[in-house]
Amino acid sequence: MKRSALQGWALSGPALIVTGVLFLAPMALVIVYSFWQRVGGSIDQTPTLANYQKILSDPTFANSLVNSLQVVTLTVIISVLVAYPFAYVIAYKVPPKWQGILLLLAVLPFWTSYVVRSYSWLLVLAKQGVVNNALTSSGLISDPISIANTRTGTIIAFVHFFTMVCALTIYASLRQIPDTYRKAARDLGASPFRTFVAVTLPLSLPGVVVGAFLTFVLAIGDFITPQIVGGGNELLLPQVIMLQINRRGDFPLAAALSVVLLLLVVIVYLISAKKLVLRRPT
Amino acid sequence: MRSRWIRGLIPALYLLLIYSFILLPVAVLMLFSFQASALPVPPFNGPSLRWYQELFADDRMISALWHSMIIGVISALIATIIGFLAAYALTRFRPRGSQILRGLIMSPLGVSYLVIGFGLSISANQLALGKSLWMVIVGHVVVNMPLAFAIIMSQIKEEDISYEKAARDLGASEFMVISRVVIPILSPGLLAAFLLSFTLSWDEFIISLFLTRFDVTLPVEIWSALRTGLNPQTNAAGTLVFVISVVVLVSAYAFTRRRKGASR
Amino acid sequence: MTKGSQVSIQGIDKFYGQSQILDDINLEFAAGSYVVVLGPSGSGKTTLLAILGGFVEATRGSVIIDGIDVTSATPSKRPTTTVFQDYALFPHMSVGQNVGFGLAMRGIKGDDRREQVEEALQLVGLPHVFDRNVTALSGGQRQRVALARALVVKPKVLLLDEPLGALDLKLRRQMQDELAHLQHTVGTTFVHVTHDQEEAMALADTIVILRDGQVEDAGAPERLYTRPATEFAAVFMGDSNVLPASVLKDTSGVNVVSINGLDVRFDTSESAPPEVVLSIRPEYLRVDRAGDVNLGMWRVAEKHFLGPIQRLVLTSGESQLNLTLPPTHKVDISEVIHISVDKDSIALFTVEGKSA
Repeated sequence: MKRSALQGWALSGPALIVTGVLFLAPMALVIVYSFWQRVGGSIDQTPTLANYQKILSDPTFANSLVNSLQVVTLTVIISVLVAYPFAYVIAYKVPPKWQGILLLLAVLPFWTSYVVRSYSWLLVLAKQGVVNNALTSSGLISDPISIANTRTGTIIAFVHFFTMVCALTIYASLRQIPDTYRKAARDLGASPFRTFVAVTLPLSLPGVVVGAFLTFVLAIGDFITPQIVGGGNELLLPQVIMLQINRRGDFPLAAALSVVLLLLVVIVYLISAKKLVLRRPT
Repeated sequence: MRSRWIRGLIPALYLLLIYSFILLPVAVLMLFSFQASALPVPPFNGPSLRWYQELFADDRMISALWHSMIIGVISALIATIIGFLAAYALTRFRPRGSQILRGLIMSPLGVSYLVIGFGLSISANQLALGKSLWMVIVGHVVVNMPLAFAIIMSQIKEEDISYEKAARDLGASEFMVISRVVIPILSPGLLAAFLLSFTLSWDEFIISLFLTRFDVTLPVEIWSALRTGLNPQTNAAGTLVFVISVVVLVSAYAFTRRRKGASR
Repeated sequence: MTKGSQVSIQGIDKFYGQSQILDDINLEFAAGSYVVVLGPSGSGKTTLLAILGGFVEATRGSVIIDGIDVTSATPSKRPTTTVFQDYALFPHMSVGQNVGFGLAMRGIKGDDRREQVEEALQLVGLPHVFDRNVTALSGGQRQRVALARALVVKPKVLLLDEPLGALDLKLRRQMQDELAHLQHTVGTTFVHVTHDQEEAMALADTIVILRDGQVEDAGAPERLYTRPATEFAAVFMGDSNVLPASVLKDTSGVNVVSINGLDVRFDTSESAPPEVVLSIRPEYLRVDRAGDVNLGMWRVAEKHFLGPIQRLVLTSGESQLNLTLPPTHKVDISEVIHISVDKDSIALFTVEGKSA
């Protein structure tokens, strides 16, 4: 027993070193930095809450936080609403042997470079882009509308990606539900709609929660899409962080903002933790 | 009977709608990589390979491409190996506090790449380590190892322990058990972990941005190129990335099929 | 208590693409009877049950319950309910919610619903589990909840898909008794699918033996056991000694059966074909000379003590017989004993397996 425990530690050692030295330590440093201040050209290491005070008082930061939450929440809601029927159709209305290929087809477009894909959205949504082209030439509108460089553009591009993520998690949890559960509900007199509401939907919720959580975590920290597709008009939290790092070189402030970002994720995790466990039906 | 047919129509239409949405930017991307004129916007004037030629002539792009491939392979390999060892250790040896260890190993998954990249860059600064492609490998191992770990954990089954017991019973050393029994059985999971790690590393932007300076990865190079203005060359780059990804995955799939066939 | 319903299965065929799963099934189940559909895997028994329940559409044929053609009715509109092999209890609902589900679908609410659910739970022997979550129950308890859920809506026919497969032997025997008792109490027609012939005999008023999508034999357990219609039925229901034989005409023109490889002859009816197969159950063989047919001297090759009986393996030349005896009958290995059997206990089949 002793020998195995030792072997266990030895084998998991590298992973623990990576986590401890290469992840936890840098994170700790970020937290430490957040309590320092940039003064002049160097960093004053006396612990201070100045950065956090600035975040709370300065409207730029408060706004970016609110904007981020609004954009990401909308993204989560829309992505789940679009993804659920999509996953449902593939899981239940498509013959099993085609399901894998259809999922692959849905995932395939995301093997293009994220940066380039974001620029593609910019092009698609731009004033002279594909969408406006189609709308004006078909006579639906007279002048091109601006979608690119707006929050709408960011949300569209986000939803594009996260619909795929949510579809995968929802599909997985739908397939986990034994067929006999739905058969039993029908057998006992439930219509297809009532079967869905009473049995399928509740049992697929873990997949919805996982997808929503992943979407939140990935979107809230994403810099590329808001920067490229959303443009510089409205700044979200990640963009503000990058601004502090690149333009202003204020690492401590950037660190404090990063801590705020982390806290957001922790809070959301704690709220959804119970629902995140995929219940295995026995 | 008629109502059943229509019930199949609405789902089909929805699928079609969503697929159009999903494929739209990619289709536009690939279409305009063959643009003849200078701007990747409508109208599309004739297919031309001009931008692909410029792409392959662009030394910075091509070396960035190589960097991304090598970093992808190395970091994915390291992430998969380390993740596998940890997953195996935690499920077979169950050291005390394995729940906490699991949580610890998976913790990077909850942290945005931006913060990880930032943290690594200021840490490197503190240690007076310069930015380099090696640092990028480190960063990618940090974010991909938890994923590899999670994938392999989900593949390790209780039932397979009897194969390992049988091997030990027949005199195999610990190393033999792992190399001759555990790894072959887990190979689909290992491959999946490796491929996912490669794919994520290959396209990873923000950590690479933080940790590189002169030698960069492909996404960072594309980003720099785009700062100076839109041109279809980056469309060509994006299409190339796509084609390479597809080729890698298809050949991996074909490879596993052939192996399965041979072992029968 | 519901009065059971009469079920009529007429000309059912089922094809999946080119392969035929069921071939011209014609069966009649009496009202209020316990029917067991018995067969090996691949016999089509689960498909037949699914067709009865409305989950699978037959390629041809009809299902008629109490004179009403329900062939095109969906499961929710059919007067049948099914107890699935995995019980399919909704894990996110309590026992009470599970059992009351069918009632809720029929618009029965409140106290009325609660009362009926409690009644059904009493019936299956689980009076105090209304608020428990189903995941906290044992396998046997879940089985009962599944039964309660299916019976509370008072179906005309209850369909059971290998309901006892997941239970261990002792629990299975106990549940068999309870199922039989339950069926008698409620009076509903039960159609129960299984591959276990002991279970079939313990429970059924009528057994239907299916093989490769066709009905091999159907009838009361006793008749099926003692006078099986086909060789397959003889061998599937309990143990059987199978011996090939030829039929010759003796000097006076009477048909005589001659067992291959043994010096054994006996008369038989006029209509026997030249090549036949004999089937004799192990318990019908006698270790004395009192039977009609003298089977000669056999050597005891193996002896197995099985508790209530002992099983002997006997050999004579190339031939082998299985014999069962009470353990009180003392016999030694290598002993040579005389074996005989009554002519009534021999079943004759053609080479194709049909009754001769």
